[in-house]
Amino acid sequence: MRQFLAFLSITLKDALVYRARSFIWFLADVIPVTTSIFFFSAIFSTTNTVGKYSFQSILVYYLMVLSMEILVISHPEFAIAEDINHGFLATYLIRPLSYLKFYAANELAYKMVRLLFFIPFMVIVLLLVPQGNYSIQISLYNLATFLPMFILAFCGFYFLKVIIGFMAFWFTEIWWLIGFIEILDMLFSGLLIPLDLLPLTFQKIATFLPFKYFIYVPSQLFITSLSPTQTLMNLGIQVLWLVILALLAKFVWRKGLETYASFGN
Amino acid sequence: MMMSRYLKLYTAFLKINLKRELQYRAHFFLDNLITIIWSCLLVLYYIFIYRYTAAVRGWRLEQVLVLTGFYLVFNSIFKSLIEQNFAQFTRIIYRGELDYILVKPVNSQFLISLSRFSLRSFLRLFGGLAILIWGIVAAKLKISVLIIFLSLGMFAIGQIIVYSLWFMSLLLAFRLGNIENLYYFFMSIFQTTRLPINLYPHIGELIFTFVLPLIFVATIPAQALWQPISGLIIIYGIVVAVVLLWLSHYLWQLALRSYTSASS
Repeated sequence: MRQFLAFLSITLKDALVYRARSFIWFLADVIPVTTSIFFFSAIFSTTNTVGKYSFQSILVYYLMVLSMEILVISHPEFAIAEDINHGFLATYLIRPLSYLKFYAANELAYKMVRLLFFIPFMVIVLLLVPQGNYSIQISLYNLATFLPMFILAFCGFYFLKVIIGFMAFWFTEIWWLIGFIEILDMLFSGLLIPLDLLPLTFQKIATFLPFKYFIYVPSQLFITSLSPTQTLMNLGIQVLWLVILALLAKFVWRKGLETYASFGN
Repeated sequence: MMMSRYLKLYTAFLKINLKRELQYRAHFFLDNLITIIWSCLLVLYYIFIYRYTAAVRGWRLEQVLVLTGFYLVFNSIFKSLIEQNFAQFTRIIYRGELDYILVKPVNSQFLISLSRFSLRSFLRLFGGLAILIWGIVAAKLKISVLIIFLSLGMFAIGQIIVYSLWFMSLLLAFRLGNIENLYYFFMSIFQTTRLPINLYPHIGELIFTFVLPLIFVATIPAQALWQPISGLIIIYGIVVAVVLLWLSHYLWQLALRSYTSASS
């Protein structure tokens, strides 16, 4: 833990230096969703409901899913792939520190800096949203169920991205894989369109992937309360996915190191 | 004379870049596969949403598909010709690599904008064209040669406008230093054009017409296929494209004056 905190304090300083960079990534996250919201706003100028949604509820929906995406999804894969491709990995391997802990701290630091833009953005948007009969419910129960789901989702995504990064052991370039996972995430986490508006086949596929449990379900907590059984069920599935991804990451790491050759170091 | 020299130079760039790109055939194939899936995702997005509505402020699904086709073709051309160059723009400035460009006896803006070429989104071009044609057929549009020329002309104007705006946004690198993702800044804004501009709130429509004239990217070329475009818009587009291109060059030279290289 002490090691982790030390990492966090270093990487936080580093992340703060690159505020402008973080801001641009933030824009890249926010603008596509804003486009969707405008599209729905145009649709609702002629109809009152789309599926079960009113304009107000779809707005809240997108804001919640977007928040989860921004706060939960980390991007260690770029740095890891670079470490492997450029041979920097060797410099980590010879030190008595945990490679994965280092990047976890790094990602956490970047998330904290992201909050600098995210919190004002949410405050402004929530002030702009007309207060209707459909609102965000914040209760102790909601918060208590949200917190573990949030942490599990963060860790789950972290391992998923780590696995993608490790693929650089075998493929020199992994852009295609990053892109592919991003597509799956957009479609099956409900970021593109609310999951319950997708055709049934797609909804079924979503149940076999982690994105629904990591993003969609937690994002719905403050809109529609889940029953204790549903909550436990989602937590269970999240834990299951986390274990699978963590074990897989460990396995890939071990296999990868066997093939790893660091040239010129 | 001047023109043919640059064309010759560009052909040489193309040859070198093609060789580089084809070194990694598996990556070429995989990257293109992903861009095709991206295109499908965009189409699916509209198909899914149009299950709940017949038209959105006059835009039917077929028309949105035509627009999406234009957007994807635009994207593919831009990503092939320009994006690789823009992606390394900040690095070139920050690390002082600009020196190598400035000492060459060729226009520096030409070199920094066009010397790299990528095939990573090449197949998206065909995906986009397929969607475009699908939309045209589904909407049962009757198109004359003149209209095709008009639409393509507007499309070309859109390319020049986007190039100029994007290029100008990168000039911030001279001020801000090492922001490696600077080119995503305009890219995120550019993504708003995948939606018909007149579906945005009125203020947005005004911004995309007069401040950031992105209306020429997909909306106007698509609309030109089914409704007459006023002469005023055509003239406006041409003027804006010329002015912005000139402005990008002017600002580039202004920025160069503040360039100090890395070692000195």
